[in-house]
Amino acid sequence: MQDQEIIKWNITESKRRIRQEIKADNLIMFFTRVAEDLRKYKNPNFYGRVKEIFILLYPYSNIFNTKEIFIELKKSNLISKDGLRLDNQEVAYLKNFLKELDEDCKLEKQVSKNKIEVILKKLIEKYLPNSDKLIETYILGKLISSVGGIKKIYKMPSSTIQLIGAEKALFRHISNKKPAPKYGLIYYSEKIKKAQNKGKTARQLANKLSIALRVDYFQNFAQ
Amino acid sequence: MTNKKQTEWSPYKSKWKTAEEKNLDVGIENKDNILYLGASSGTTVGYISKLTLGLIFAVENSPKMAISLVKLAEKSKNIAPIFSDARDTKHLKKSMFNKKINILFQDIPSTDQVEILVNASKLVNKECKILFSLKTQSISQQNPKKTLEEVKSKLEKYFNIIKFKDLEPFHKKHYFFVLRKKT
Repeated sequence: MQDQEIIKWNITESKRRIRQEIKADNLIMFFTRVAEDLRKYKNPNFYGRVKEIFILLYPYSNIFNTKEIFIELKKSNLISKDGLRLDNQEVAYLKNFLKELDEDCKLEKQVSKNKIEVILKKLIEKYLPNSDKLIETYILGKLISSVGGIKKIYKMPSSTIQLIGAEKALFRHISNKKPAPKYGLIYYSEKIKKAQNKGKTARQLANKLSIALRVDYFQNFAQ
Repeated sequence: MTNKKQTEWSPYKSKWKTAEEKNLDVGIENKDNILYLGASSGTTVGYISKLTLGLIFAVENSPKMAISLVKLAEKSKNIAPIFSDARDTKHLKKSMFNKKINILFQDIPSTDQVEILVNASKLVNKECKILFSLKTQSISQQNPKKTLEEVKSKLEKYFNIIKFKDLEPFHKKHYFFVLRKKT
């Protein structure tokens, strides 16, 4: 084979293989971060989030200015050859989100916070049904987005999942002889708020959650 | 992913340039084909591609870096990007189409760096120059000279060690080997 043909074959083969790696948990992480922005800050603008979703859908583009990206994304029909694959329903969710952004890329806070949490709940019911029964949607989204995807969290032992979010206390315990932490982000779920013995419940919840995440990964995300 | 400006080829970032500053023979002939394991975003690969007319096969495992590599390959004329694990020699052999490789370069920070090198060296023949950058901290946190002795004894079963040096002051606890296959 000639040199130029070898290069072309490798480029198309790499693009095909990269496309299999970008999966639906990126969409869950995107909506979790939008919901977190709406909870934390007073009047946030979403230029950064719009750029994230543009790079997921069209990773090989050459547009770098954020305002141009915003205009491009509103016009396009969200079907991508090289990036994330979306169903018809998911395209509808994204278009609803993009319609409500005004010219400064901001959202009206009261109305949109509920809408985004409803979208997040539907996505998690579709892709992570077993983990959805154990813990709330917002906390599950934050767990996955703080680790960086479901491909990294399903391998972790349950004691790591119990302590996600408490890394400062954990390393203080390891190096400075302070007492060990018992819970991290899991502390904010309803089961632990109502329980009498919080440390024991946190351990039991993390044990069952790690099994549920592995079942969900092998049903919906693995080949 | 922003628009990258043309930066200087700095020895503080690129291991190939550090080896050149330390007078290890990393010279490239005019028609060399190169197999580069651990290409990441492609900064060093971009500089090397201007020094030769042959092909460069750049291997990278992570999707975000590989997207930058594919963008670079579409602009330049002799880079072939390969998105796969460097341990997967079947796929590498399939993507190279029996081209003769003159230089093999590896810069992968992981615990089994030496095993990856031994596996990948089955794809090249005896005349190929092998350049290996060793990061001792990813193998073990003990004294780096002790790790160096262990690695040398493993390498001497399969390769002839022509030269090695440490990469001070540009990179700490790193060593660079120039090797040839024995059989």
